[in-house]
Amino acid sequence: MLFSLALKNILRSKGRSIITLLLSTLTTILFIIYVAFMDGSHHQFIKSSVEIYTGYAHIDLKGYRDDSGYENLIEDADRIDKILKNDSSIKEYAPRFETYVLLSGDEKAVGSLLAGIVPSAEKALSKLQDSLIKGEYLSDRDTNAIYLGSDLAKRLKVDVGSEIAMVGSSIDYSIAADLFTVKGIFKTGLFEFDSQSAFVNKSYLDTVMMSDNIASYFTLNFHDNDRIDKMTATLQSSLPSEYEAVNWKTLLSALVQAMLVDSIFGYISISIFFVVIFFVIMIFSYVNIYTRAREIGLLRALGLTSKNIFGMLFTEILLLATVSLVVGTIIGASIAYYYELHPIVISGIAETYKEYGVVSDEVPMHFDLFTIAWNALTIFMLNIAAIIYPISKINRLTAMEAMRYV
Amino acid sequence: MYKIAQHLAWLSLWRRKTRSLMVIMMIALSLSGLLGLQGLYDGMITHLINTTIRSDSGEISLYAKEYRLNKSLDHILNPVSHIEEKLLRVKGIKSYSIRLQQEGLIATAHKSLGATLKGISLESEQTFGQFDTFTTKGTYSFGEKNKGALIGSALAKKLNLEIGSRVIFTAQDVNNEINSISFRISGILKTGNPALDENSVFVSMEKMSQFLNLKDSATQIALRVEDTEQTEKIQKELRKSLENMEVLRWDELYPLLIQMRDIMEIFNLASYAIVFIVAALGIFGVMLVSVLERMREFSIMLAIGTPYKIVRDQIILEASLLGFIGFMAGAFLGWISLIYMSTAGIDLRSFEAGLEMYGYSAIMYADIHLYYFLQAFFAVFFATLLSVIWPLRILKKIKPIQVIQGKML
Amino acid sequence: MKYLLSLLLITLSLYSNEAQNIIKKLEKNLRGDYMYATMKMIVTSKRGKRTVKIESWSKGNDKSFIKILYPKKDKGITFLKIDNQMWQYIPKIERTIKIPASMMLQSWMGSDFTNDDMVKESSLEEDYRARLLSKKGNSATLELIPREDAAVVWGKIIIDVDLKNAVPIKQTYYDDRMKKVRVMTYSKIEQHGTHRIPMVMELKPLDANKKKNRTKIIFEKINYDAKIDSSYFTKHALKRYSR
Repeated sequence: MLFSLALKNILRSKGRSIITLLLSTLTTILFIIYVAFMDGSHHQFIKSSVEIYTGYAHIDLKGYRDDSGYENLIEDADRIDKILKNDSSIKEYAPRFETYVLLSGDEKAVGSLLAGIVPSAEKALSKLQDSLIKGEYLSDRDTNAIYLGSDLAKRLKVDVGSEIAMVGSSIDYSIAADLFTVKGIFKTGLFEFDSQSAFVNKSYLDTVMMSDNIASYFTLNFHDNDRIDKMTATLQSSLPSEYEAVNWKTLLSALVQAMLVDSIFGYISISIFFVVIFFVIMIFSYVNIYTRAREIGLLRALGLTSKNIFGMLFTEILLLATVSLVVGTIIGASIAYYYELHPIVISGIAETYKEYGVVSDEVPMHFDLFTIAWNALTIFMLNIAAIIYPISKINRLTAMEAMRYV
Repeated sequence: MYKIAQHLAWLSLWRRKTRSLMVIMMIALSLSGLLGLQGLYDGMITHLINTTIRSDSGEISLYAKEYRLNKSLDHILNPVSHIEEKLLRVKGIKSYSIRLQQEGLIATAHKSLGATLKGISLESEQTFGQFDTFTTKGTYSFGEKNKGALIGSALAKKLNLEIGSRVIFTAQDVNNEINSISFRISGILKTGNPALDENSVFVSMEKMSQFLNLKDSATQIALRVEDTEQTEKIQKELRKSLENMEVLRWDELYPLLIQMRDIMEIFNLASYAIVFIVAALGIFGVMLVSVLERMREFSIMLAIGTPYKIVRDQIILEASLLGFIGFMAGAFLGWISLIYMSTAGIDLRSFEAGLEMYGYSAIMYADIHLYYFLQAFFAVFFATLLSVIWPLRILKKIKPIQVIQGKML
Repeated sequence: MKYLLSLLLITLSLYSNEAQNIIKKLEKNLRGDYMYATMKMIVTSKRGKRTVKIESWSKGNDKSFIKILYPKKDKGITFLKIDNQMWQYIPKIERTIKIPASMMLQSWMGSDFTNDDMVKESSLEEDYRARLLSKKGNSATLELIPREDAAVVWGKIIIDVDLKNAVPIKQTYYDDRMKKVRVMTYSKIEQHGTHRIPMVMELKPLDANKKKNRTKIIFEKINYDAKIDSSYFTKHALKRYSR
């Protein structure tokens, strides 16, 4: 019976119901889209940094990240390879050998990172192949081919087909030197990367650097990258004790922190909006309830208890909140989902923000069921909270007072 | 007569205390939040821009053509003394800083890292941007015989340096010969500008010139102007008299800063607009009901001859009072939070690594500007006006006799 | 009182003068106008032992030319040092590279010596001020503190000297915070012409994670007297004498 009373009340005070419904629904939609956008941009930021080269997780010798010289290399790469091959949670992996060398074209000698990679595996692990702008990407059979970042090529004043001399040190610190021909040039958009990175087929570099069966680290990604902390911990347990598995959250920790700060500010900003919504709903409910003070008084006089009244009023808001939750969530979620798959493109933002690591012109949205759920629930709770005060106030009146309310 | 309207309006508000309070709280809380955030965001950007101007570019910077693309000693400003003469002739320049820098290697007995050595004049940098306020350890000086060096904090940390530590800097001079020079660290600087803190060592201009085998040369001359409004004018003048050099403003050198500021402004305006349109809704709700409930009352007033204007004004005053009290409360709360945040600042040092990556300082200070409150005032003002439109329409349609008779409610 | 003070001052200056003299004598003994040598450098690290055979020609402190003889992989690599500059020629890629500032502190040929060490192997006398710490019979211990303008990374060097032969026995290098960083020991003193020199030098870094590392240089042939053709100290020499 309470239910039908509640329903009737809703339908009767159309103005209030519509406004509450609209407000809640719009707020739900807004919140969902806002968070989808915020999360989307953070994800994209991180994704670019992770996917361009770093990778989702690394396996290295403990101590390598502090001192990345030749003292902390993985000396038995085959052993790690075997462990990773048999691990079904890993989608793709490859060893990398990184060292700093002097590269020179005709004139200047420039210090740069030189990495021996497995070209076929890197296709799925980094954006090296996708960033090709001139010439060709490396293949697993290449020998003296080198793949340069565009800004590095500019600094060295070389082009595809040019010869480059490399001088560095091999594992035993003796001089390693060789001549390479530029096979391809890439541009990721990350200036720091494009101006100091060069890549060579690892199996060839191993002969020059004496790094056969040796790697600086393994880079890998999981089938389930979203639950990466769990995946990393599980992987760690299958490694011998002197090795560690670390994921991008550790590798790019400064970036993660910056994203976190941005999120916090984002939530604070939108909370101000919620404060207003909260009060507006409260005001409307309050006004609505007090307008019916005499009616409520009558009901009380007829025998309904305060608890009943509370129940009835509560049911009203519950119905309204539920409807707006459902409608808002469906609309908000659809928008988030649609724009995640077909992002809005504003051309030019990549160029403008390239110093901050932004590489794409798309406006990103991130669709996540869990996030959407708690977003919607928050607004729902907001509705409920807004009504507590008005209901409790009306219940404090006795039946007589209510009936005579002016 | 108007006084009656005022009196009645005031009384009506307090007759329905709870409702009025809810509206006031709504305005007050949201307003203080908006003010606080606006101050904080503005503070962040201002700090960033300020730091860049003070520690690096000034309002205008002079470079040799090509230097910014290819930082070699082939593209330097020379003779500096001539340029100085020309600068002194231009009105409106408050101070200028002459800098000579070169990239090279800094080393201790344990470690070596890439770094940039910058020859500066301590007094100039002090006048220019109060450089000494960046000192976190040691003193702002190069010692008696200019043997000292000031170093960026992040660089000092990576090399494990303290005051008195000895470092060697090695680089190629103007003749492409490799030279080394030794210094003792006399002070550590934290500018908030990552390019400086992570990469720079400052020494006296004389030592630097000697080291690079240059005379009367510079890689950059940065200027501060008396009146920032005149920046473009001064830039034009300088361009004419210094034809074969690049004369650039800070926003041309760092366009990103302007964009960030613009985005913050848009974000701010949008926030105010959205928040107050919705707030108008709240005021509207209260005003509407308040008018509906008092239809009888108003009808009687009209019937006994009260000019419609008075009744209308009463409603408008009620809404305005709500808005005004809400505004005062919100402005006061906002003002207190802004004062707190602009002096003590918000300590986000646990997020230091992430923030400093982007050049933000770990302790954030808020800006306070009068226009914040003016903007807020207008927002509340418009919200209240918006909210009474509908109630006033209802009021207009009252036919007093019918209401009194109970036929129109 | 004044008399005591001046006596003290004279004694001190005599001490420092004596210390400077010791160093002067040392350097004069170890270096000559010209020096030709062949040597074996043995680098020990946690990866094992590596032997490099080297031939070197030098004129005073400023010019030297070095050629690698062994192992086959590195044979023909040549280095030229003139004042502060260093060039390297690698026959495998037929390129001459000038070692830029950023490579100066990298290890030379994988040893515990840096490029910088090779280039600045001068002058204790020029770059440091010597003070006598103790003297017993034929040996003395001196403390070397870098002069104000000297571009050296060390905080100080403690050197034990064999006075009779004017050779160093042990050199301990300290960093800026007076922490020991590396030790060089000298042994097997022989007479070659007018010079008495240690034929074996060993450098040991004291870094905790370089415990197993050491670099040993064993001179095989040394000749101070023959004049060396100035053509060795030109950039042409790098390629010409590489064979």
